[in-house]
Amino acid sequence: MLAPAYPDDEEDRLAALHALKIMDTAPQPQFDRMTRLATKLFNVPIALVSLCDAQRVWFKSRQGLDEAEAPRDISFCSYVILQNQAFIVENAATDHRFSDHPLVVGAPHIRFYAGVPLKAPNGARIGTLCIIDRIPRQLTSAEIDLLFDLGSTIEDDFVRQNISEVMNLYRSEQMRMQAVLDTVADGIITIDDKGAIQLANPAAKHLFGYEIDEILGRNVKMLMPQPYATEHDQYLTNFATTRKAKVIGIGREVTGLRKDGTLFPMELAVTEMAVDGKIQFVGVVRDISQRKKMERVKQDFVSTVSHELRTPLTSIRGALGLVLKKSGHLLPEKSLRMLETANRNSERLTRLVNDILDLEKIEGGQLDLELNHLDLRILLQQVVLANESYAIQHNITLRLHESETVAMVLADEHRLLQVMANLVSNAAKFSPEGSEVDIFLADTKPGFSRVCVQDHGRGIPEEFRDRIFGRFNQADASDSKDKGGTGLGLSISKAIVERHGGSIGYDSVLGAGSTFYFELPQQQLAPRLADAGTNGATSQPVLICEDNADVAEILRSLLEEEQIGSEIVATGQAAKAALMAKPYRLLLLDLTLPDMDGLSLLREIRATSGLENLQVIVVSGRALEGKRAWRGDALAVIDWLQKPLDEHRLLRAIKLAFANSVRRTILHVDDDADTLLVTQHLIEDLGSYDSATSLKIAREKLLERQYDLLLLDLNLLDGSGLELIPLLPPQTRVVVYSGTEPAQEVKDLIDAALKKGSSTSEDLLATIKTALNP
Amino acid sequence: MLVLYVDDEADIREVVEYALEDEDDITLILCDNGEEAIEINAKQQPELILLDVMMPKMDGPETLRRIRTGTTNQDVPIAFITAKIQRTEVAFLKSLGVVDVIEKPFDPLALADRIRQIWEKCRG
Repeated sequence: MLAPAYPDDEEDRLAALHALKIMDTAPQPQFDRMTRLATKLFNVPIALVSLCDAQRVWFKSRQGLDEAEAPRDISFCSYVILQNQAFIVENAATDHRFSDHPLVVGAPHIRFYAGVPLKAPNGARIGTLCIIDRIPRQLTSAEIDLLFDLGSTIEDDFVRQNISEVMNLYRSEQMRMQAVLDTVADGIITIDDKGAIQLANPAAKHLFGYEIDEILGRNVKMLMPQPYATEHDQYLTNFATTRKAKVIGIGREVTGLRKDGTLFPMELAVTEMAVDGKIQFVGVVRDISQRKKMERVKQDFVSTVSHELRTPLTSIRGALGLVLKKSGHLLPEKSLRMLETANRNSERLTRLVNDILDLEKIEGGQLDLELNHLDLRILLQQVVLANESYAIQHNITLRLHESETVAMVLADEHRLLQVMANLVSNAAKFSPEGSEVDIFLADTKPGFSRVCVQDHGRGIPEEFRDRIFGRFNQADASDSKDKGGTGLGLSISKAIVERHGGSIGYDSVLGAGSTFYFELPQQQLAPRLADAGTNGATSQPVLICEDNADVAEILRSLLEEEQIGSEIVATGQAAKAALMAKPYRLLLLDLTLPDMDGLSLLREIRATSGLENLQVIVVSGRALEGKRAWRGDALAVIDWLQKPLDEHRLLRAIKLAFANSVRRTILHVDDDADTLLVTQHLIEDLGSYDSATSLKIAREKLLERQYDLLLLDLNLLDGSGLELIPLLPPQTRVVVYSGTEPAQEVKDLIDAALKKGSSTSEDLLATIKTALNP
Repeated sequence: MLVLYVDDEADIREVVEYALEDEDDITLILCDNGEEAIEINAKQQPELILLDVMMPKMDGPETLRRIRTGTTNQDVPIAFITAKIQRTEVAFLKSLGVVDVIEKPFDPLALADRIRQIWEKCRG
């Protein structure tokens, strides 16, 4: 026989068939009724409900036939499912497609076949209702219609079958979802767009101490203390108008309010969903009181342990060091060696305590950096000085390669020295005696400076390489000259470098040595101080009020190097006279003056009309005491510099003062009035302060004028503060000051970011100062 | 130079004493608590005080405060010497108005030089 073609939608057809889950099921009366009815109505010996699978035709119901199924390729049914019309063979014996068919040639000697396609609920033709006779026959169109009517009834049964199947699935799925909701440890609460609670799971009930009935339908703000409750209303109102949800996101730390009035810290993640076209919000709440408590306990513990370990170490190390120095020569060789071992190990223990403390800070995300502009060339000179004696102990020469190019980075000097001490001591440890360790700068990546420490040792064994930055990992140190390491150094170094936005790595060739390096982003070189100001103010001199002629002279020449003119007065009275006579850009003030106290002078100056805003830097042997005693405005003095003078810090302060005298403009965009008020008070001395409570207002202000700095909240009532960034001229600095930490992509667009709540006013002030004076 | 060293740890006092005994320019007075330190400061007027931070009864910062608000030798340069060396802790101690914060464990062989350095700094 001629094998039937396959329908174009074969795959979907099979999927629809299988979805019904009807294949190979037991006989069902509703189908058997139909086939029995067909044999009577059409007076045929055979009637079938057949279902056409990939390889076979299976009979869901059959009358007058023993076989339960037939191969698809030799079936009549496969022809039926190719078309929507009835498929009729009036005499198979004379039909070339079926004349040699086994069921035609042999029993049951089929001559007549008529079938209509049966469709799954989605319309796919999955089988047939067919009638078969042993004699040739014809069907009238009325009879064909009748056959279709029977077919439709069977199709209705398919649908019914399908619905009950889906209902079962749905029920078990729903039970599963309910079980998840009921047993999940996190509280789950959904609200509608008005804030009314639609659903709360048992964990949420437990967390807040309410029965479910007590909270369903009520406003979710009942679970929040002020000011969150009011804010929440604002969010929802805002959402209603802008369709922008403000609180969507993960892991905000907020405060929850229990039924009994107690508060607890919780982490809240909010997502938005649409149910029947209506917006709902899903809040997942986790009680983090335990975690908070643990964090505090851990911090206190580490701090205490560190202190408690240090105290006996002080005696041990002190005693050993002194004995070795003062009476080491009196001791027998063996005892001396033992004492030296003890001494070395007390030092190692000290390092270990320090490293563990560092590690703890790193883990707790508390590795704070004191960032300053540093020239890496100068840092490397310090590195050589600081590590030379260690190198000499190991008979190693540190070789610093001079670099022509300036390599300015924004970094924590102390921490970088720590990293370098680690790299250099590792290099020295694993170098052959008498060899050199090379320290140099390299330019490998645009915008980055790379510091390299190269040894000529045996290289890093292959099997150690992927663990090298791990904790408490030390290479087999049998050939190392010093076993005093803690195994934490590289791990800490990596964290420090990465905290600086840099990366650390190494190149190593077995037998030829290793080069460890780290890369930090370069900073633009600061402009000469004299250029920092603009307009006429630059011509004004600096007044130095200092009675020690030598110190005054040092300050004068320091300023001269920066091409800043200055005048010197030795007494408070002379200073007052000079300040009244003409304008000065800045006053450098000593606190111990022969005729009066510097602080009194400062008070008088501040009270004098025209001098209220004079920039002042205190340079004094009693600067720190002065700062403490100064009860006035913290911003009245740019910086309090303790003698002996830190020139670097002085120059920074001067630069800041000059920048201030230019009067910067700051626009602060935040929708919280209190924040604006507090911030204005805090920073209005840095420049002229302007504020906007919405994106809309901010946009208008940005059109009107150009600002030096934009202080930006990200979550505004009418959208994200980030929308303003494209509107800014390139010279406008951007500091994000928001409740949430911006994403890394965002950080690339801005100058700095501070998180509300976790940064102090001083952080904010310092960050803005730095941003204004890069 | 008359230096007062205040520490409740007898072992550490002993180490300090031994470390400084050969230094001809440094005369050391030892005591083990804040109250006595205040008394010695008033009576003997040391030129520098090295003050431990964690002491029972009266701690270092309190001792410092009382000396500063006293009437005799109240401006004496004071340095803390402490095992509380976390950066925030040191920053806090420095903010109290001391000339230096020496971290424990310190190198006993370098202690004399450190003291001279501090002294120079105060005079400068």
